[in-house]
Amino acid sequence: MRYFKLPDLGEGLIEAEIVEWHVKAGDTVATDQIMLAVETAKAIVEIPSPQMGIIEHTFGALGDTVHIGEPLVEYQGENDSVSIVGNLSAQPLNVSHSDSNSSTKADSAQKKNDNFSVSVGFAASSIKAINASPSVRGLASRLGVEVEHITGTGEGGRITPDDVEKASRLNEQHGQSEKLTGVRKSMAKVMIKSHQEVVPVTLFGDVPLAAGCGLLKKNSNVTVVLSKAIAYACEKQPALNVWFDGENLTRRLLDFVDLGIAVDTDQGLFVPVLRQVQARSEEDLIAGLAALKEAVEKRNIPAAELMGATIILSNYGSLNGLCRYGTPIVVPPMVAIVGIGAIYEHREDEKTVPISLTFDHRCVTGGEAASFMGYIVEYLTR
Amino acid sequence: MNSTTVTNLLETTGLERNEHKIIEHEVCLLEAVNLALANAMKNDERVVLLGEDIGTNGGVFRATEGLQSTFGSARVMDTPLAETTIAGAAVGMAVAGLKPIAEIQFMGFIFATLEHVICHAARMRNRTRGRLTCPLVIRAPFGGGIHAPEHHSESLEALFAHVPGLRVVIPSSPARAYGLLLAAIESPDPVIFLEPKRLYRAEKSMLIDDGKALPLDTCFTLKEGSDLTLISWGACIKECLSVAEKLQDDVSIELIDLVTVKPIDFSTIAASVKKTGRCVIVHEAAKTCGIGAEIAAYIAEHLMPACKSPVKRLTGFDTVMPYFRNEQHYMISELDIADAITVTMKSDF
Amino acid sequence: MMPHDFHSYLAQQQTLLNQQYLIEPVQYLSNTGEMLHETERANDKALLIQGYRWMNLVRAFDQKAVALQRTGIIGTYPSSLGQEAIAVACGMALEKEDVFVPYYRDHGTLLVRGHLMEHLLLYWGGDERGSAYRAENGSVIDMPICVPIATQASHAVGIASALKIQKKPQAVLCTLGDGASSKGDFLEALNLAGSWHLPVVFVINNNQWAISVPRHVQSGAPTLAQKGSAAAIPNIQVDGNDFIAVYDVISQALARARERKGPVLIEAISYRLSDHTTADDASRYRDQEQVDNAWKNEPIKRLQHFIYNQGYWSKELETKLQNECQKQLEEAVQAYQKIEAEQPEAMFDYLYETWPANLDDQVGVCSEKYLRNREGSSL
Repeated sequence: MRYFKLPDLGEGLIEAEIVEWHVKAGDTVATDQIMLAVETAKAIVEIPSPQMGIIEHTFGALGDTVHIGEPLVEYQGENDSVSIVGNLSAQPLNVSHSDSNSSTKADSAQKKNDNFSVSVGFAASSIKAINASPSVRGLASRLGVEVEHITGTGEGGRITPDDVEKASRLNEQHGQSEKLTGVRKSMAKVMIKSHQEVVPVTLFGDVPLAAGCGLLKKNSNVTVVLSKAIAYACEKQPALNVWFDGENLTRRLLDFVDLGIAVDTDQGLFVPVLRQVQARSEEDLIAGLAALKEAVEKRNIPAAELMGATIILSNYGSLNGLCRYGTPIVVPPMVAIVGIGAIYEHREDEKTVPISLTFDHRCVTGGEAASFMGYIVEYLTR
Repeated sequence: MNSTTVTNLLETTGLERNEHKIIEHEVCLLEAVNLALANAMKNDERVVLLGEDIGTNGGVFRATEGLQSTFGSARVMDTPLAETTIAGAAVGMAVAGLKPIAEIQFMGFIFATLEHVICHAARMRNRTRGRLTCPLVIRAPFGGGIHAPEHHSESLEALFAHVPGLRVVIPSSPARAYGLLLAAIESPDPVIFLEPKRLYRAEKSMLIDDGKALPLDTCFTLKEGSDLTLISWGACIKECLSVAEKLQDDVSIELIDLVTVKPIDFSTIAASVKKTGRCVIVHEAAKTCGIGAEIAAYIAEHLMPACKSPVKRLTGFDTVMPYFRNEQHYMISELDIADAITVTMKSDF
Repeated sequence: MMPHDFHSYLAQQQTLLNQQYLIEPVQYLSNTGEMLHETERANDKALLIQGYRWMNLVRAFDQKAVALQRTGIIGTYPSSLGQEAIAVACGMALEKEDVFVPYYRDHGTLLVRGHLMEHLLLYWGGDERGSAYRAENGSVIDMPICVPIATQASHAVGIASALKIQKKPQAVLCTLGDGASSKGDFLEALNLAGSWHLPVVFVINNNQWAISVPRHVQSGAPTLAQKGSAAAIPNIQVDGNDFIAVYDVISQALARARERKGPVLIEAISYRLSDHTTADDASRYRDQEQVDNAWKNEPIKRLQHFIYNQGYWSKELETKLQNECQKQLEEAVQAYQKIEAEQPEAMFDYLYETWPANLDDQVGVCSEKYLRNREGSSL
């Protein structure tokens, strides 16, 4: 292609701000080579080149806002390729009438391909549409109400002046509402989906820790030890390390453990994935975990690193020493999540770690879950 | 006159009238209009047609050929010779829940409809705060270049574009005419649909009769380029496309078909001019207060930093189009367009 | 039949034409309320009382509206003084699902259709919402007040066509003034109605004046009704100030149209006892003497005499009626004054089903402008 335009960033985002250019005119780029970084409401996104080529021209300076469909980069020497709406095949299918008379026209008949693309303007404007008339929007702006935060009670979900006035009163009494964005918004969506689909059951257990066990060792990384425990349990009881398709009622038993690690940050909840836990050494896992956490803090964790977990570990005990038990949420297509509470002293010199294991009862039986928990305990107490 | 019309197709492909089969055709713009009308009438019983000579005669350009025999004279109505009442009756029908498509035989005769279009069609929703609406379509062949008598060559899209509450849509190819006419018919708002008569039978291209409407309120990009943005609509697209292809070794031209002349999609124009920095606007209509002025004003207001040269408008003169003997001296030729492009490429501020 | 003398042939034609229209307009009550011809309607006590009550309410509303304009509460207003019989007869003859296509002097009919007074005041007070309401006894597609003269006639034939296509049994009633009868729209609409045999009744309120142009200058034809003949539409004149006659003629014409027997053109002869609108001063172009004489023919007094004499009405009922009218008016004016103006951005709300995103920046400009004006900033 000759022009690379800002692609659809998903999540209803229609624009991004250019924060860094990695290439300039004249550079040769390889496929997937990062050309620029843009910032959206959600994260900083690095944009790779979709093809090999030489940059003819870049569009936009640092700080410029670019909309979906607007050009970012022009490549040298390529032919125009237009995303086609009207490009129809040259072969007619069903027309069998005789052409003999129509070709007698002096100015008639040149068969043509009709190429055209529906342009930028339409794409951007259709995403923007808010179901509120101009006068309602005007009223909202004068009352300091965000129209995007209101559910309309009018016909077809239209926002009415009453809706706006009600929202205004709420704002006056209780303060402005804020729109969930980015990570917080993702979390809300994931949790809604989970609640709609999953049939959760949580098993609670207290694991007595013998002195000298892995978890209590001075230099041990609690998360990594737990990860290994989970990997062990997954090997022994694979029913909790599957991907389950609730619609088609199929499950896929997995022979590897990609463990999602719940990480709480200022922006919200991230769940980066520690890959192949069953095959890696503890040192390797410690390093991997550190790298993931750093990437999360710097807000440059690639989307790929947040996807594909087979089971999740949520160590909420590390957040607050009082938290022992919980009902952590299973995220489809996974079927289990292991929650770890704060290690407490059950009796003098007897430390206990509380475990809350939630499983999706559509796919996992109580027996399987119980035995899984047993294997975790086995690993931790060996 | 033979053409791929509904009647011919039904006969030769042996389809039942109500059979919903998707057919691919090689058609000209006029036939595309006919197919769109047939499709709309088949799928929505509220759609009715009215106009002079559109029933038995199938329209003086044959745009409505075969439709009265297919759908009956209650839905395809020949009117007395009275453009004012054609428009006024269309307003009444639209208010009463039908979807009327009125044909005005030539744009040169559309002026008698202005009172109803401007005072009523464009305002009915506003006047009644949405209680009543006026989803009508007025179709008219427009533009010159067919050696027609006086009053048969008008291009006054700017008149309608100036009216709040109207949409003005101008196709430039069979596929676009088909999809845009369907969109105009589906629209809950009144639409003036101007068909460039010079393109009616000029070229055939492929069209799928699937009843799918194209979007309104957006430009279409016909050719991507990097040196110059060429904006036009209607019959002039033909020459613009040809020039863009002929010059492509020297100048990389991005050709934009405005399509919806009101409300104009400025996002596409802006994205293009930001890219190229140079802009030529071509329209057959007279220069003063033509749509080219609206686009040039927008570019001056919002895109000056991106411009490498002043905007160029290539338009008709502020005269009545000469009768056909001298018509060619008014019409915009490929040479005129190439000239404008060359001048723009060379010029600086 | 070849005429030897071209001029005498034409003269004969003229005489014949005029003779056709020397038929007296339909009339039952004299201007002093005496029965001139027998009619069943005279025994319909309920009808006459209802008609009388409505006419009084209409006049009270009308005079109140003029007063409101003079005190700056509403804008320019066209009074219907003296034409109440036509208005009320139209309203009472229409059935709910018939479609009413008015011009701008039909307040009476709108009230009979069930529009609220405060909504009429909204319209004349300069608020579009006045035309937004469906009348309680009206069709959902009753047309709004029409200002461009006679254009409503074209709409009426369009609606009548639609009713025919949709196989609905209702009829359309279109009103217009004597001035409008000169306009192309009217003549074209008549032509179409006749050609397509449409279920529409046209009622010309011939109140003798189109602002300052008197009837005899408006047209050289001896009657306005005969314009229907050119379209092969049966036509009839009626004394527009005789409620019984107007009601009789209009209701029969509508019934006929509903039976799909075709259109009718009715010329109701009346007199505009007021100025054209509150912005007009009729004394500039007509004599007070003419107006005073016209008062003798006015519709309310003559029906009043008749119903008194028939024993349908009494002084007590009269007083009660006038008090009720005043009360209704006061409540309506109060209700009207409580209605706040729309948001300024409302001017964008209804040009399209959805305001195009392409033009969104204008809405922002309007909001800013409103804020600036509200703060009272000046140059």
